[in-house]
Amino acid sequence: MTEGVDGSDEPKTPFPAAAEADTGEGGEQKPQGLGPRYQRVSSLLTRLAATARSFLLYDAGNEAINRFLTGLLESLVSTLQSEGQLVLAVLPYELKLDDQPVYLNRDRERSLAFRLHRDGVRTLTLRKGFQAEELTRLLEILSIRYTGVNQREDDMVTLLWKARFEHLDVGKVEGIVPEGTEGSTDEPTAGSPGVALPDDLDLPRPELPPPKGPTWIEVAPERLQALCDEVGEAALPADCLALLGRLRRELAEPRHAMTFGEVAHLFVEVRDYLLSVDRLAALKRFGALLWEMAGEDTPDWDPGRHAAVYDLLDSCGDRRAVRRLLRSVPAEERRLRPDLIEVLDRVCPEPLVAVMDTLAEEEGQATRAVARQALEHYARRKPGLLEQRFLLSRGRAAADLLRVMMHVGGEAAAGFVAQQCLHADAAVQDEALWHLARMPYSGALGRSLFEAFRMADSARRGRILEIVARSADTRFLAPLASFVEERAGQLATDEASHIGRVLGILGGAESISRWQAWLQPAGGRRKGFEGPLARVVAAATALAFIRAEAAAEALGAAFDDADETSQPWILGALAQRQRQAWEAVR
Amino acid sequence: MSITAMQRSLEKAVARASLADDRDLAGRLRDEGQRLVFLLNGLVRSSRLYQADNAAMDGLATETSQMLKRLLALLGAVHIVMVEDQIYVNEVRVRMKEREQELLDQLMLELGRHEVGGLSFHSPLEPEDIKSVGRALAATAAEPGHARAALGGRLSGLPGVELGGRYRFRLKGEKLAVTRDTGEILRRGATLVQETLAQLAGDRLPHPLLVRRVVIDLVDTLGDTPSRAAIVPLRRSVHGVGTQHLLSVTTLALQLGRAVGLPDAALSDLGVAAMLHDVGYTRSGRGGHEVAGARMLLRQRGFHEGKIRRLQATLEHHLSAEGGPSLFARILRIVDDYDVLVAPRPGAPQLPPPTAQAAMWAARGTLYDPDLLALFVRTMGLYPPGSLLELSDGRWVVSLSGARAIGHATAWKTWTSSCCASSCGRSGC
Repeated sequence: MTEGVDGSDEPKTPFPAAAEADTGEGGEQKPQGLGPRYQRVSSLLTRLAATARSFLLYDAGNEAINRFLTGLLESLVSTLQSEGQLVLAVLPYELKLDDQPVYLNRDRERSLAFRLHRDGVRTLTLRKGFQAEELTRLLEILSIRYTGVNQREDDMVTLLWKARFEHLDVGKVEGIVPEGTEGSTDEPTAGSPGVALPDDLDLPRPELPPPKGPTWIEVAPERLQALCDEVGEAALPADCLALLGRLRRELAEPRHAMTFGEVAHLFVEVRDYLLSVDRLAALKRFGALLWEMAGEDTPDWDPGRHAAVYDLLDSCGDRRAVRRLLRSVPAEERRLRPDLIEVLDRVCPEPLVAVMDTLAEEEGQATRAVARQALEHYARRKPGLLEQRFLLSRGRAAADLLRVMMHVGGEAAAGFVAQQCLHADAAVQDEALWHLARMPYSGALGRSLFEAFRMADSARRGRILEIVARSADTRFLAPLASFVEERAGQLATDEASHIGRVLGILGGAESISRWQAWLQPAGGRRKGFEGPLARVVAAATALAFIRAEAAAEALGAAFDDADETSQPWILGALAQRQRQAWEAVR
Repeated sequence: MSITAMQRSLEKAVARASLADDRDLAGRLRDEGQRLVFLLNGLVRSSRLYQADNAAMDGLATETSQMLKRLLALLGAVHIVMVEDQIYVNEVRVRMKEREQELLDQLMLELGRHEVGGLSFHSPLEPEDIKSVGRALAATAAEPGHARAALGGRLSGLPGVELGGRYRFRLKGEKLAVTRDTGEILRRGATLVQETLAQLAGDRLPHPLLVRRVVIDLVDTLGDTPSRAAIVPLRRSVHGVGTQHLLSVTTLALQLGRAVGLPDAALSDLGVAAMLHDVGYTRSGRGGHEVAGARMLLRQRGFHEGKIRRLQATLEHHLSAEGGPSLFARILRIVDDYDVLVAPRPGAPQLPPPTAQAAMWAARGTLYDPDLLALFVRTMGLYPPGSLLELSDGRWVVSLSGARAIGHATAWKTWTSSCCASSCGRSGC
């Protein structure tokens, strides 16, 4: 019985470092007083259990899981190398090696031993030669059995059997319920009358043509392969649709009087399956099938069918379904396929809204990228809706919407995006700055940038300065200089240097005197300058970026008057000039 | 295999597995399951205090009835199972706060008095039925050893309610399963088939896992002794014609599936499909058993490829190959017809196996998939088990083994004419 159910629908969390430990983060207790040999096996089993659990909680592609798997595999291989084989007895909460407990976890939801024992596994024998491929299969099985509300098809024993391990033997007991039952199982229970099939089932016998002696025919290997392929994973979507098509025909048969309610859950299960396996072509056919069914007359025996089919159609475009749909694009691909748009068009009454809803909750970068592309497709028809949603959004979702607006609106959206430099949300500011750095410069943009510069924190001011430097708009010179003068007392030297660089680039030779003034020596016999250090740093850096020789002379003169705190900055500015000169020559 | 490939494979496997469930469902189940446990407990206790027609009972019974209906719509069947000090509703543990544990303990105690450890609901119950359940549970338990049966008797008017035994761990006395002979597995299979039919006829949810366990044992043993499968249709069974038919179709289907080269996972799906393909007869009598069977099997919730292909096979196993049925359905069509032709049936003349095979061969490519029928003939041999042949020296022989393969001689049993006649009952043989 399972507590944890797979959360693959939900964003997976990063793999915590704690999970890498083998000290029982999942409730495993370290059996006491074990010798080194048993300790090694104990550690191995704890790692195995933790890894199996981890795939349900964390993103399987996680770097840390990679390390964890590597460690587990190495540990397993080396243990089997030295042991030859490990024969583990499975008890309700324990695994024993040579009658010595080497794994103990009394938490039913997490215990590896409990799950094995519950399904009837009583011994596990791992032999030398057990390698990555078999370990993967074993972990798959263990992970699968950590999920399950409706698992009535397989248990640990059947899954282990299907896997056909070469280096793992499984000892099992009869029946699916390992726990003994008290009282006789032969006792009748309520409502289980004896039932037999009729003696004349399948009679009369099939009518066949006159017998014709069979001949011994070889079936070509490619024909055999084609038959096997019919039950392969690739054929399953088509089989699902064929089954639904068949049921649709039976639903129309008055003699069966079958209701849609009897099959609705199967439609939902198939929909979810198709959504999860990247089968867009099959999904399109699924959508088409539903629309066709929605267009059919409601039969007398099933008055609620029409509404039920429409409910199902609606659910195909709900948030959960759209999320699965967007996630169906492989992470490495990150591209919106035309098929996906076709499916969204078919299943969502309002695809733009559905995708915006999904985007608001989605954590995965790849899925968000696909969602943004889908929004770009749909927002061209209704750009106003996008802006409305943006104004109601926060954080990353708002930033994503802003990006879409920029792509959809182009030049026309530039002003709006520029205003977002002043947005209260840092994520939106970042997004806006990213776009501003890449769009053609204009006066309107400059005004927005300057406003943003005054409001932003130092990290974002740095990004704005980069844009300003590239703009070569000298109108920034005065306000930037004022900014330094006003805030020189609070500015960090790094930021002052950054501003100084832009001041130098924008001001050029004409501004040398101004920076020189900032390096005015203090009066009397005092060594140093009049202004605070930040202003000195800004001035020195500004002079470093002015090519005119006068700037170098100003720096040289200032060096003599500088105190110990300022001198390194002036030296640095001189060095910077030197470096630029060398680079120019090169 | 690289670690990254391992990660990718694991990621896919977990995603596949999660299809059978979903997180929302588990969450709802946990909440509503907890409420159902409270309601049942309240119902039992109130049944001791109030008459059934007391208004105090009505509200409780109505709410329980509605809750049950909702859960049944979600799950197909609701299983409340007690293990030690915890309660599970369809595999999800019901979480209780510390002060609520007392209520849970009370319900466990009530059920424990009747030696019951699990309660399953397979169909919705009206409020009056709910009250009956409450009264039955509140009543004095019968003496130890008979309590569960007695409670079962009290609930016999409610076929949708099933009682389960108490669970506990057995630490000693278990025997590890060892390879058995086919006959023993078939006997177990026959019992299971009868139980499964009874369950399904009682409107209960199919439980393919039980069937799959038997199928897996069959796959293992038939692989070692291929001729055993071919013999099965000719056996007379004490379990009845229908059960024998299902078993023989299953063994023949597995044999043919193996000849195709199907992987074990697909073979086990095929075996389960074969075992359940005619369950519709428990409902429909004659005609329409395919749809009736599919409707019974459809009640199972959760996605599984085995379920999809089983439903296809159930619906299509009487279609001709030309109609494009699924692989499982085409396999079942061949082995089903073969069994119907050769197996003894009351009041219907059976065909000798070679004649049946020859008749089917004449419909190769129309009724039957040509490749599959060719493989079937190769599996059964030109003289399938049960074939009576006259040798050139005048002796009569009966074929005992199926497959003819290089290095394998067909097994024969030699008979004198009179011996054979008395054995097979066929005049002029």
